[in-house]
Amino acid sequence: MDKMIRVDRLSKRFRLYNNPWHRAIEWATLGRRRLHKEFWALRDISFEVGRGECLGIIGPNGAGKSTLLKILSGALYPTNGTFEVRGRTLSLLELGTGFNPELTGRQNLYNSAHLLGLPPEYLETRIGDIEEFGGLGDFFDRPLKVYSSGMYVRLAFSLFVFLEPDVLIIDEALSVGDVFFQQKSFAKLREIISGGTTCLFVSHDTAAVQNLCHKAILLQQGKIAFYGEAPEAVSRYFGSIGGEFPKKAIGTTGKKQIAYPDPDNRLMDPDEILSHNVLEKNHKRHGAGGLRIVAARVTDSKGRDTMQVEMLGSLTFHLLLRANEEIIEPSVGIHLHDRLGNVVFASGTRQLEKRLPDLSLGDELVVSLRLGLNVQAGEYTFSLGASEGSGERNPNIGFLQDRHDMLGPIVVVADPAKLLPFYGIAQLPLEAAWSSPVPRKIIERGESLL
Amino acid sequence: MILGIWRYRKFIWKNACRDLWYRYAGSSMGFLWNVINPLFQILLYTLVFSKIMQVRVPNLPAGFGFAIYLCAGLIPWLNFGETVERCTNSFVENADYLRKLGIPEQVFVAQDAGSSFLSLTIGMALLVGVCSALGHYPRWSWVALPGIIILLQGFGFGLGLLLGVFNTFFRDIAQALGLFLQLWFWATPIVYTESILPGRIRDWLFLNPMYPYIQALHTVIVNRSWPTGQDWAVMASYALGLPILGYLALRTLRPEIRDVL
Repeated sequence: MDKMIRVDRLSKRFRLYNNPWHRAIEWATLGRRRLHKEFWALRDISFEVGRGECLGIIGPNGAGKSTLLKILSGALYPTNGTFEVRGRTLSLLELGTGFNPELTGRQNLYNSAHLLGLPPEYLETRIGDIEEFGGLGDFFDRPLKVYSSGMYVRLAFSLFVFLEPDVLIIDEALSVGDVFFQQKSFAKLREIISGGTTCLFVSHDTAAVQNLCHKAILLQQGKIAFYGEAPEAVSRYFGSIGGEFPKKAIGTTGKKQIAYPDPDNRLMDPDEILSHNVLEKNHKRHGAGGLRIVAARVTDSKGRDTMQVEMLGSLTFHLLLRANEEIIEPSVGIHLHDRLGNVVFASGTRQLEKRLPDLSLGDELVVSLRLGLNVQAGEYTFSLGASEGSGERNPNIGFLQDRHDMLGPIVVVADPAKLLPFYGIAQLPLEAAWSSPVPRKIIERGESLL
Repeated sequence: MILGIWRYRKFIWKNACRDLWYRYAGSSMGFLWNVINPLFQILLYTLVFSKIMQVRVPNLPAGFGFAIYLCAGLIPWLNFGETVERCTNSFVENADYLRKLGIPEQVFVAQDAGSSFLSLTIGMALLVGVCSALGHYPRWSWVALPGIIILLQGFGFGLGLLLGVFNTFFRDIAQALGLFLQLWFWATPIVYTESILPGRIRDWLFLNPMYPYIQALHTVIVNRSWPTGQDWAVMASYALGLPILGYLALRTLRPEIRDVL
């Protein structure tokens, strides 16, 4: 099979100078005095992409994804290594580069074609299709400055999908426009990929990557952490962004791991919670402050400190509370937010109709909340709150004493090899019952069986 | 480097033309300002120096004579200054493109130089027109004019390219350039004649790279004779030498330029 993109041990180093004159001094002394810091954005990247394949590149921010694409597009020069991109390449590094707001949509397309090194006749034959795909109507011949931002991206994207490159490099540019346009865009992309266009796709939209790409590279800190099938790369990506916690929890690095007789339900000592406190000192908190959540610890069903769990698994939140005044009817709760900011679930001891003991000044209380994460795979943030009974008539209103927001992330993973227990935001109880099969042909002939 | 410019020649040409057009886009007279501006300058200087100050120039009649001398040097100089300033800033101005697309860097410098060259052509054409209108008719020697201004523009392009490369790292250069150009202007006999300079200073005039060009322009326009072979040689050497220097700087520092933008 034709290899359209070949990358061999590509590395990129940036030289960081504190001020431009340091660079001048370095030049003047022919490099004998080094006044810069080195930053290796990419290290030894190697991969190949064949004709008609789509390779996804995912990874956390700062991993080097955009740098890699810029090198392949010719916008940056590599420090070491070689690469080869065959055929005509179109790079979609940010839609609308080179669009002049004074010109009309049509004129801008011609201008962009120029920028990309295409002869204008090439655009001639396709401009009708582009116009139709964009769906801009009259606006196509009006200056860009009157466009809405949605129209703007539609124009840019329409241009790129119709230029039939041999290689298409896309950086984050796909999740634009409204949902209808996105569907159209994806369908069109799938079409050109199956038509033989090779595609290199960088995105944070892991759903898109799994959808479009056969293989994917997980890039972390400039190195290839994984190179293989797209769904597995996505899963590993989710597994890694839990951050430090998963690594520390597994094994016996640092603190001693005691074997708990019943890890799920055992209440911890204040010291144990304090030793693995996930609340940071300068973290945002608000509330009256009469009752404070001093520390919180998160463990899974096996007692390990982690915020990563499988779908339908559970995490236990151990909270250490301290009363700074007399507290009547305290309550503790947790909110779970998905990546779009939806409150997926929020509840607490008040909703469970459990009455916590009243507290006097200086009392400490340990509360443990075990939450079953019957939600879809992905990243979540959570908030912990402590409140006091407010004495209001409405039982839902409490007096907020302390609240810590934007904690986490909680990472819920799904095993790509196994059957997903459900699709959607969260699991609802669903049951199924069925009869024995009833033969159809007797009924059809009009005769009744009964 | 030439290959890069050649491959993108249509792009450069189109953008140079459009740049000229859009300098005045939105104004009602649009492209006409490209003509009116230099014309106005010529007429104004003519008025001031000929009628009001009554300066005299050898070989030329009193009255409009000085104006012709002045414009012959001033119009190209102003354009040269503009060329160098724009080209020096070219990489920084087009950083958006250079950061994202694989277009060769020199294309943008060529684009700015091209746009300036077009406006220089217009200015020179106007100059020829005004001279004729004043009774100072062109002679055969004026055929040398296109050659001179092409070489001048080549010099400007090369210098702009060289400075532009360094300007991406040391942004002060573009600023300092303004001051330097002012100094250079007064070191060149444009608003005054050579004859008023003391002999010792006149001997050093040959070191000024602009001097051969201005002198050639005066020779052609004012004296209506051909520039000497030596004049051509000096002009051509700057016009070739600077782009080569610029190219060397570009080639050496090319990877770092993109990193810095």
